[in-house]
Amino acid sequence: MAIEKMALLKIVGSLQEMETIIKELILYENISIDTESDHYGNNYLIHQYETEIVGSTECRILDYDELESECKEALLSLESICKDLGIKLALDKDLIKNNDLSYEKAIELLNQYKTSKGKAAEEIKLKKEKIKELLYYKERVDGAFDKSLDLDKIADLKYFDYEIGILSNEDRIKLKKNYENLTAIVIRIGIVKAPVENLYLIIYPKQYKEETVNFLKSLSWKRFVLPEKYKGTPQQISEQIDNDVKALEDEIKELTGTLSSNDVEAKVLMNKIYNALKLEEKIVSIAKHADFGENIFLLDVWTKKKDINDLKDTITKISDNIIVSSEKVYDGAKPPTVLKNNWFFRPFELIVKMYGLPAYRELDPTPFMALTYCLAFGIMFGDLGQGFIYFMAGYLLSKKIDLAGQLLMRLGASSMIFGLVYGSLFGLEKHQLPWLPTLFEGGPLSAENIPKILVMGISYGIIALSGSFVYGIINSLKNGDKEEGLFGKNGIFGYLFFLSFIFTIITLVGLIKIPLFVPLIFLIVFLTIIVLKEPLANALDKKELFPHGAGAYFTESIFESIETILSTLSNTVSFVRVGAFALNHAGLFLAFMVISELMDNIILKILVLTLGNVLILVLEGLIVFIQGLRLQFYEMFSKYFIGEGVEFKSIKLN
Amino acid sequence: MNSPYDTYHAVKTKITTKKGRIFKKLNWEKILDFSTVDQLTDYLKKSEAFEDILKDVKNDIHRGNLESVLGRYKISEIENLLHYHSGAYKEFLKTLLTEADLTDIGLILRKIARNMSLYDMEDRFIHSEKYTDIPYDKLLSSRNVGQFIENLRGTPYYNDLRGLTNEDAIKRDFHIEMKLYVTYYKSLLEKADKLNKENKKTAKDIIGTRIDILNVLWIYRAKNYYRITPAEMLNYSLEGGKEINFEKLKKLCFAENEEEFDEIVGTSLGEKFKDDLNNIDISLAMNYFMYNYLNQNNFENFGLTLSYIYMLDIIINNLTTITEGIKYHLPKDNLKSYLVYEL
Repeated sequence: MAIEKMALLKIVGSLQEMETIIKELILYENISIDTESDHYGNNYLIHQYETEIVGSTECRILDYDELESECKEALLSLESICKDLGIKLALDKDLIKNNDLSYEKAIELLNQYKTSKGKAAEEIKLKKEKIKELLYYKERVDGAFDKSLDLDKIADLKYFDYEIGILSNEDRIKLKKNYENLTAIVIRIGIVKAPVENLYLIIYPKQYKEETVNFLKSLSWKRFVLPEKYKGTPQQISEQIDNDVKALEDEIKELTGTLSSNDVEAKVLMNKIYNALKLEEKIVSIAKHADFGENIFLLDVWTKKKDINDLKDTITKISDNIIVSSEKVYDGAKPPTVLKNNWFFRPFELIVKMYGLPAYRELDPTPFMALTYCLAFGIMFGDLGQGFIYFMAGYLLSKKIDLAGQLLMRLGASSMIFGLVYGSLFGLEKHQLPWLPTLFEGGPLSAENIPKILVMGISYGIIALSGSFVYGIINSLKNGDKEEGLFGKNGIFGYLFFLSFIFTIITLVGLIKIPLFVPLIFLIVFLTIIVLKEPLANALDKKELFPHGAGAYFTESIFESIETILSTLSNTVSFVRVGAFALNHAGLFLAFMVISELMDNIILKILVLTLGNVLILVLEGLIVFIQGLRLQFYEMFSKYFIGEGVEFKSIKLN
Repeated sequence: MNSPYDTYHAVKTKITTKKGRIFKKLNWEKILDFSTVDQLTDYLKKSEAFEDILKDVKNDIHRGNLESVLGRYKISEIENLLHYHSGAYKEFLKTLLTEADLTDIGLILRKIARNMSLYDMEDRFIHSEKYTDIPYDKLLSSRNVGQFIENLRGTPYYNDLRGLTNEDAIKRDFHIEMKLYVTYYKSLLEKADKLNKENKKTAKDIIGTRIDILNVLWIYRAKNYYRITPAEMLNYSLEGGKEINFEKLKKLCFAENEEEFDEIVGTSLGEKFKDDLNNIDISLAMNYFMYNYLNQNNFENFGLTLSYIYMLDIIINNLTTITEGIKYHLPKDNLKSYLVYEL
């Protein structure tokens, strides 16, 4: 029920063996790279180890950025080949473990394939593109208004030239407005829909060629030129294109046939290459974070403390030349966080992570949050039957989304327990079902129970806030922040202020019989201490009392104390909602009960009550879920939880 | 802003603060005294308005780079203003953001046409990464103009550039700029149509004014520097001007001589603009006209947002002019005459 202890390891080895070592680390799947490592200190270590580790001096440090892009490029071309061949590529850990294919060999095989078999694949691609191009022509030829138009007749005019091209609708309007400035015959000969393109034939005197062409350019004119071989009327050209497309399609079919004949063999080979490339890509991405010496490398990795020995064994097995040392965590290091909770609390990590992951040195709020959240949900939504529905829904959901389902099951269970406390089954209470056990005779809505339930909400709040204070104080003191931990508004004196505030209220309403000034004196003393938090903390550390000047400090601090008073009040009152939602839950059902009593027909009665239950389950359940979250995130987490942890992302292939 | 003044007061407060930060606090006298771009960068780094955008910029910044950073500043300001607008107003501003896409598309295309390296292009981009629909990665992978245009397919600008050859991209450089503008302003005016009556008029007036001066500038340049026919000029002009309608535009393009041209400009955009056009740098004349137009109108609606954005343009223009002046060691008084100095 805490945060897993982490260790920082420095792995030092010869450059020659680097790839093997990193491969082993990747397959180990339980380490993460320290990307913010202390390079200065590492250089010192590298010097120290340089003489101890014997490696081949011929091994050079590679340009890993270049290698990475080369690798990515190879992967892309492999993927595109396999897509054309219909081969599915998949990562296979066993294959990677026992792959005898080196990266260099993989690249070589890929290139070989590209030159032999790849040719066919390339040809298919080209033919497909050709078909696309032909269809582009066909669409425009088919758009011609007059299918029997024969342009060959005007091809050889002595004094005139012609051009066919495409204009958008807007440019067409511009052309119309400008007709008088153009020495040419303009004929609209066709249209293509979506997006609208107009096909125009422009016939102009040869001597005005340059002027006309420039004019057309200013209209974003796109010339439409058919390949030479297509001649005749649009009707004939369309048929010719159809024939060519069909011929190309047949050729593609044939080519695909020759490729798929050695399907299985190709599939095995391609997957081997793929896995080798994927592994190399990952290795390179890790090598980029290493520090290098003449012939050695050094890599900082995080691992769980309990895995250290196992990891050391695995790595040092590779050769005698590897040093794995566990290091003291340097200042400013950010160890990654792994939450370690038991089966009951684990689903609640979902909610904690929505807010933020606890930092490594922070307390894990999950257990406390789980207990208080279950409790609040139960109090606000206590019903044996509806809780059971949630429980079952959670059970079904857990098969699809494990943690979310588990979470719902726990909330459902809590709702069921409080269902027994309130004596409520699908909204029905003891006077409808006399055998139901209950702690609140007469149901939550009876006059004498309403204040009890509201007080229950507030009491829950006081307990929950007390817990938050304790967590907050521990977190601050753990981080050495005396000012906040002792004297801050969420520190020890903040808590004492909160308690005296509660006692003042209790005295005010006359629940305990002591003179009002007693808690008030405490209240004022504690508030004064909070106002003086910085000078007090500085006095403890024997530092200057007001390093930024007393005037500014007090102005700020006094406003802060007003805020403290207001927020203490609003924090506490905020928890009234816990009781209020419990009443609301009963009240909403009461409304449906009244409607059902107006019905004569028993079927209608059942229908109304069922509808009421569905509405409560869907709508009110959601509201209570959100309100509970709000209390956690806003009233409680803000007191003790920062959530700036870094997630432990173990390196693995994916 | 669906009912006109819903969030007007929020916007007004926001813009007043923004204006205060940038207009009042920049000391132009002091800026003009700087003799290196580094001094200017340092000064801007310390100013409240530019602090954030410049904090990651190292010294010895390239002039072009400072220009891009300032361009990005304008974009980030518009992005920020998006939070205070909703519905049709937000859509309008989002379209306004795409003006930066035109700059960046043109930038890549010109480099590709001239076979220049696209290295470090990302540093010079100013477009909004969050709101752009242009596939920049694809554009940057293009090896020639044809591929570039194919990669633009699916964007609103494909139609404008299709048919453009490598040679056109160099010799008819203006084609890129003007054609993209045509599409941009058309879509901006369409978005303006969706605003409520009062704001629609304001937006169309401001955009229309902008279109007017861009058209005059374009035709002026075309007549003086490019060998193209009036009919082509007309095809490249923008529609939707406030004072200069299609008929006037046509007359401008077909004007036989300078006097005729000046006459039309003078009657539609005022004598001062006409004089400026003949006496000072044309882009400065344009900035002055826009500045005066925005300043004369005390907008109490969406115009407030637009006027702030276009004022930013003028400030950024001033600053880039100064960096240029510093580079060419222009004397202070001389440099001053290239700025909109009343700010």
